[in-house]
Amino acid sequence: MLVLLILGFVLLIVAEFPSVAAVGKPREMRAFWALLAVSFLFCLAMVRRWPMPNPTRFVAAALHPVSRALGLK
Amino acid sequence: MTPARISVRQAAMLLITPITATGHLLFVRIVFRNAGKDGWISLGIALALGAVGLLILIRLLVLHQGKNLLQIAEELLGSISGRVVGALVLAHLLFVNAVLLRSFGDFMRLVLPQTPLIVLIGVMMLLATRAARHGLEVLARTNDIMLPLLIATGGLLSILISKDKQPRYLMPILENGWQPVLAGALALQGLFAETLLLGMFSHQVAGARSSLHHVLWIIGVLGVLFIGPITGPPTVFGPASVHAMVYPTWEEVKHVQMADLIGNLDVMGVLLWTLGTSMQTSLFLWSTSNGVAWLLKLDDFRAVVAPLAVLTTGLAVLVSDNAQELFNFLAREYPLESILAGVLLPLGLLIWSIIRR
Repeated sequence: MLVLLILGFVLLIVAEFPSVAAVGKPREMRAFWALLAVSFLFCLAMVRRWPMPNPTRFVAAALHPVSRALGLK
Repeated sequence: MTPARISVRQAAMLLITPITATGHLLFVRIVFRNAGKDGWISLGIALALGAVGLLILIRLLVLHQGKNLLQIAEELLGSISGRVVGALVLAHLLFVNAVLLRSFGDFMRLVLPQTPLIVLIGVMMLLATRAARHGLEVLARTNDIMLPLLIATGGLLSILISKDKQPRYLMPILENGWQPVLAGALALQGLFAETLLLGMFSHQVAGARSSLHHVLWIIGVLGVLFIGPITGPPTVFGPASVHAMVYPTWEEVKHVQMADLIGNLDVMGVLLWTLGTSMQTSLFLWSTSNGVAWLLKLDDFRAVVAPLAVLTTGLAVLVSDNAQELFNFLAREYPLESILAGVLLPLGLLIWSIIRR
């Protein structure tokens, strides 16, 4: 899985980098690499099964009392 | 990068496609779970509430011509607070896109049970990434072709199934009182609050004016598109059967049979939801990318489309352990989150905007 993940990101960079570089602005370039790094870490955490909070359960826990009070089934 | 312009009609059509795709696939079951055969009353109430929500959003956007919701929040609340609110809206859009993409993946696993989930949602996201990178105008033009096709196919299926409908199954009306009907309306209102997307691309709509006519047009089309799927399954299969169905609209489409000549039309349902979901995912991804570009003060949103697509795909896998858990979330908490972002936030900003004037 890890090999596939790395391969996927290499392919993504090969496919996307030329168009980002063509814009020719350092700010865009920095944003691209920063978000790509975040995405990679996120996917790596999932592949390696590192403990991560589930956003659905977080939102559900916050809104469930209101939902129950309103009678949503 | 010069922003592309789309017409008011194209903007309206862009709002209708994602609501219809999600609604037919997922929310019909949620309405049945709450209101049962009285779902059509829920639909009427939700349409009225949806019109009010859309009017609030449009009123806000017209007061701040040429700006989107994030820019309006920044103007009204100040740089820091406005950007915090903007970041929350973007987090909501990213999360909703992941949830809806995952729901579509769970549906497709019924059709392609051997294919891994990540492949199903990955392919859809790959398509959405290419579409979103081309910008709003391309999305709008693609939707100009897709939406009429979806409506025509859905209309044809409704006509073919109409001979099997028994309207008497909808009687008696309000058998369980108003509470279930209102709960169903609230769930649908959460779906209609996806009109928040208008706030993300309003600055690129040419000649946008406050118009009750446009709101009524959108709500009217949504009403026509939803009345068939809401009344279909209870009148075809009986009111008791719909509670046990996972995808009632799909069951109805599978049921279509015409003189041993036309049948097995479930593939048409798959086609409808694949096209609709591809537009929905593309539009959500474009909106998120455009918003993140604004947040990071970028001139070109295209630099962040692919990384955000990867993030959304990963999130779509993470959001739930199984389809039932995600469905419960969509039925119970999603409508509230959606109304908070799509109706209450614009309402708060509108009130604040009027007070400041």
